[in-house]
Amino acid sequence: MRVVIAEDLALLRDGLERLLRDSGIEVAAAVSDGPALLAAVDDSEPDLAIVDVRLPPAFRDEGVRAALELRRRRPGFPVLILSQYVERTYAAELLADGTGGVGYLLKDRVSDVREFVDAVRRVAGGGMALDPEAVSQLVAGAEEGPLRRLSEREREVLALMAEGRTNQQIAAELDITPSGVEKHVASIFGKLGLPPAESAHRRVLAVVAWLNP
Amino acid sequence: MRATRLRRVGADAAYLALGLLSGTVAFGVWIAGVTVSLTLALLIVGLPVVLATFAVFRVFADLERRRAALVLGSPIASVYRPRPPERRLGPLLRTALHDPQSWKDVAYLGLFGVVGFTWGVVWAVLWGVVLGSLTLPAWWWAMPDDATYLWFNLDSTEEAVIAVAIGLAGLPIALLVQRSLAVSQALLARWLLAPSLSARIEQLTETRAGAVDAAAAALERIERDLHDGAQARLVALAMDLGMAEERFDRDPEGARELVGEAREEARRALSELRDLARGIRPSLLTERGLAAAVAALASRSPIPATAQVDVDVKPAPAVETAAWFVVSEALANATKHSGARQVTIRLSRHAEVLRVEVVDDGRGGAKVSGAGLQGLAQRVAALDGTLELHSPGGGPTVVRASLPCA
Repeated sequence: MRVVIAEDLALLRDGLERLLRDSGIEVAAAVSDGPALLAAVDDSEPDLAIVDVRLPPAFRDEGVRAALELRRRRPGFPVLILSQYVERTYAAELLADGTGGVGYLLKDRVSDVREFVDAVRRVAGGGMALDPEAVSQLVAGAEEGPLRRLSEREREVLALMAEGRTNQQIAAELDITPSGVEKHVASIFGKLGLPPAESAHRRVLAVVAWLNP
Repeated sequence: MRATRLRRVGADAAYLALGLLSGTVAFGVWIAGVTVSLTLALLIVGLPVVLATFAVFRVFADLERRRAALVLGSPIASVYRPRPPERRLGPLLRTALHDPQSWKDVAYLGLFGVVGFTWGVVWAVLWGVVLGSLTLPAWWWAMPDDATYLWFNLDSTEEAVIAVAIGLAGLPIALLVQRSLAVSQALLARWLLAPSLSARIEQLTETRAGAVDAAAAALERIERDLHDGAQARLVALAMDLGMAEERFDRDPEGARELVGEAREEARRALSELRDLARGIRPSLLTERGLAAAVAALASRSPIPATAQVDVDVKPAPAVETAAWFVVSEALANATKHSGARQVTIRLSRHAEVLRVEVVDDGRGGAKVSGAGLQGLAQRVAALDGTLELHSPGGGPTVVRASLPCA
């Protein structure tokens, strides 16, 4: 697998590069701003872009904007956003097109190398990886919108889906049977009015419904 | 040159005509306000009336400050002692009584009741005579036969022409008198309604001291949080790594455990630093600006909240941060205490003032005594703004901050 990194702080950029190489992931390019990211993706056709939120010149949300532009040009192109903070607003914007291949993690998560690399592979494969912190922000404000109709257990399942867990992992986490998880997932899809379609896609849509109450 | 002079004449005339009107009203308001206040002030029940009188006088004085722009070119600045955030009779009345400007308002309205009316009447009579004379040939025939004009009995066209000559001669005099009347009246307004330099200095000294205190307290809190939190965790992490290095050869399993602990300390330090940084300035405010940050607050609120942000020009960062904290604190208070079912957040910019308003439909009765609102009031005052809390029993509760952003 090949990735491109956009991170302006050399300390973190080099650390991330080393960590990925150690885990057998090739870093095709490491750049420090948005335009360079777009150019690097065109040049090296990687499987995934890892992007910091604050990038030069203004250190505001250039990274998110570059990632959105990237996905506008290449629908569904896998992007993993790394940041010191998680904001539900950004998660909603990134997932809005419903195609998946989106990760949004706190930078802290790199300290757990195995989980981080798992998340990288999952996102590159079109899956999701929302930070548990983002997920807990969502749980706090879930009294409105379509999520009202979900039961307590279904919300727990949806939260784990947002983190990118598979049904087996969710079953293990909540200590229920895989077929129980499947039932909850089907019920969530039904209550959110999602059409019967390809399953990974629907998981994204369920989370999108959650992000936009 | 001619056009500006003509505009000058028009503005003076408008100023005096409006002065005749507002002078008449001021006279009545002043007599009523002062007599009722003096009579009732002896009784406790009269105190709200006294406060109301000051408030009405202040509104009137502000209108007069604006009217003065017709002659002075710009409105007179309005500087009063900042209102206490708490809307209770005692603090409000104390502030009004201690503010020299309240008393100057009383003096001005009393004087102006006479001056505005008298000047206005002189002005109206003067122009009546001049304009009447100038147009006399057109309408003298309509007068009754025994009517006199000035000193002669008017009964021929020739005499009407004499009147026109008198009118022409009177015109420059009328203009001169009008100018003097307007300027003298405006100077009276400026004398009593403009802030004295000492009042402004006093106000700035007070808010600056508050700002310095608030900044010092915030720095102290950050220093303590760093010292007891992230710094201590990094020390523990360094120790764990040092011990792990020692053990690598003789006890690899123990070393692995220590490295795991070090990672856990690093994670906690990061999380504490993140909370600390967020308390200084929320990240979304830096990255996306005020509207997005306030919208995010509203969407995260456990009570359904709607945000209307109507701010086209980006305010200074300090103003944005203060506005964000006002909304954040007001939402937190509404969630904790109000029992409200709906919160409305409004941000709008009026001229050079950013107004932040958070209204909930809860049970009211909120007080400023809490540390949160007091710190907020200080933060707002440091920017030369004001924070108001209206929260009658039974609700609704309104938190309003006005932040200058010139």
